[in-house]
Amino acid sequence: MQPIIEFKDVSFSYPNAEQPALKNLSLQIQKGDWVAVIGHNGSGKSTFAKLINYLLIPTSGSITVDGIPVDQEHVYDIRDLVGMVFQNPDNQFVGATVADDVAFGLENRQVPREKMLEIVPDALERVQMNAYAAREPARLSGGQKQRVAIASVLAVEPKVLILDEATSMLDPKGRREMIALVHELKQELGAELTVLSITHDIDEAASADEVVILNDGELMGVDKPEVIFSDAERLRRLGLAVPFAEQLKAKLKARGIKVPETYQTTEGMAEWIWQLHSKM
Amino acid sequence: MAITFKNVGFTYQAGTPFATPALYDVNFNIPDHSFTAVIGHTGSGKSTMVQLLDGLELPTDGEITIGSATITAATKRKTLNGMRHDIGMVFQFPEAQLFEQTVLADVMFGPMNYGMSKAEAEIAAKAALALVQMPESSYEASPFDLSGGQMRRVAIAGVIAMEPEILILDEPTAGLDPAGQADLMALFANLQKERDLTVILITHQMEFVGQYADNVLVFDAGSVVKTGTPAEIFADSDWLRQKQLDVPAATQFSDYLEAKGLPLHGALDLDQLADEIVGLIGGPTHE
Repeated sequence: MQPIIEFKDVSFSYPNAEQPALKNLSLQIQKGDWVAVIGHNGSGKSTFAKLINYLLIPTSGSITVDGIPVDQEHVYDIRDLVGMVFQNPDNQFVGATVADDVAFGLENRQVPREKMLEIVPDALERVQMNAYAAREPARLSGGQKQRVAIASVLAVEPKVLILDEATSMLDPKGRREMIALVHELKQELGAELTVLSITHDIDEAASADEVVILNDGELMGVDKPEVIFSDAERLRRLGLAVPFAEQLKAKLKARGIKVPETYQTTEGMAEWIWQLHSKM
Repeated sequence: MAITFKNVGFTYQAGTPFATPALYDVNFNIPDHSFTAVIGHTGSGKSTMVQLLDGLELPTDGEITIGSATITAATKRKTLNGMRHDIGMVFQFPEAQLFEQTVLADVMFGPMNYGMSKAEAEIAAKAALALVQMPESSYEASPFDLSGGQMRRVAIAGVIAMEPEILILDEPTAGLDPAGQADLMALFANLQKERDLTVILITHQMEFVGQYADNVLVFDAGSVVKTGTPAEIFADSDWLRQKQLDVPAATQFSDYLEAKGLPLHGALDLDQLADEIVGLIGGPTHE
């Protein structure tokens, strides 16, 4: 099957930078996957995302989205295919009302008004924000703003949704709601929507199908979340969050306790302690 | 510097048709040199309280005392300017406020604005930059060529250089990677000791509350609904969940094992939890 996103030997350097932000990155993302990209600040995660929809241009190498080359000639096709939601919910509003904002992308694509009247409520319905269609975006909570931003992207029916640290400015509730929303969208749209989420949030990354680790512009690994998160040593070395159960294991080990060597979920770890205690 | 809120209320655009009440009957006391965490879900009134504390708004009702000064609805705005000098405010994403040509000039701007001479400001700025662990080689660089984490440190140094007695931090670690977050929190804890500051931390991250705070204020629906030590606050996780707040992961885990019948006592961080578990399963096991 043709990958939805393919990077072939891509490098990118910012002007005047001593080090390239991405070095010889080759990577394929399969259609319909939910892929989390993790890495410390400055690892090249956002650069990676911005290259996909031609906000940045590779210094060398090539990128395709759904088989279409990402270049000057195809930039508008690419941007129809790839929708992006950024970190700061306050930076992405243009409309006076929530509905206007969702319509903005459609206006740019000269969608007839009658069509827009169907698409906009549909998109808002998907993110459960239709009750807010006539509201001013500025008066919404952070989580609501991000949901509207997702609706604006969905209205254009992209094949790839990129979330560039889209939950990092939300409170814990807003964050959980947003992860739940992506789950629902994935269930509803299935293989029609590929999600790429760039994140520091371990719960968000753990819900993905695949996790990509970037470090100093280089690809360090691509695997299932349970494999990536079981290597606590590597996560620590790369300055990344370590799952709670693994943190606890390390603390117990430091106190001379013999701990299970395989990967443990939080529940698994609790079960282990309970059993040890009941044997005494 | 101690802070007291007594029956404080605040309404945005009071006396107009757009009047929006935001705080009701807020009462609390922040002891001198304490590390106080302020928690509450979005829209609970935390930020409005901070605006009052920083003298950006005057209370509609009640009385605020900061050190020996008192603020009420009748206080002249001009008096507030003098008080603001004692309060260092680190807003969310403070790196957005950087503007100068060099790192050193940016950090010197605040103290000079409050009347320090250029020479004094330079000494204060260099001391502040050293405290946030910025290397001397960066002083003449443009702040815009730094990494995000470094830019944030420079912005924080700009606040510290004004030598405030109270430091207010609004979600200071948002957007940083886990290692960067831990570094920054350790830096604040160290800063509090070195400069003997009163620190007020507004955060959603309960791990940091459990780890660093000695005093917690819980905001809900425009008022303070609970105050206490982290141990007291996190003792009732059901109540916190009703307020849309979390407990630290260590406390959650401890509660879960306690519900299964193990004698644990709601540890606040991983070290406490690990110690309790070791006690429970009988110390080091060597097989």
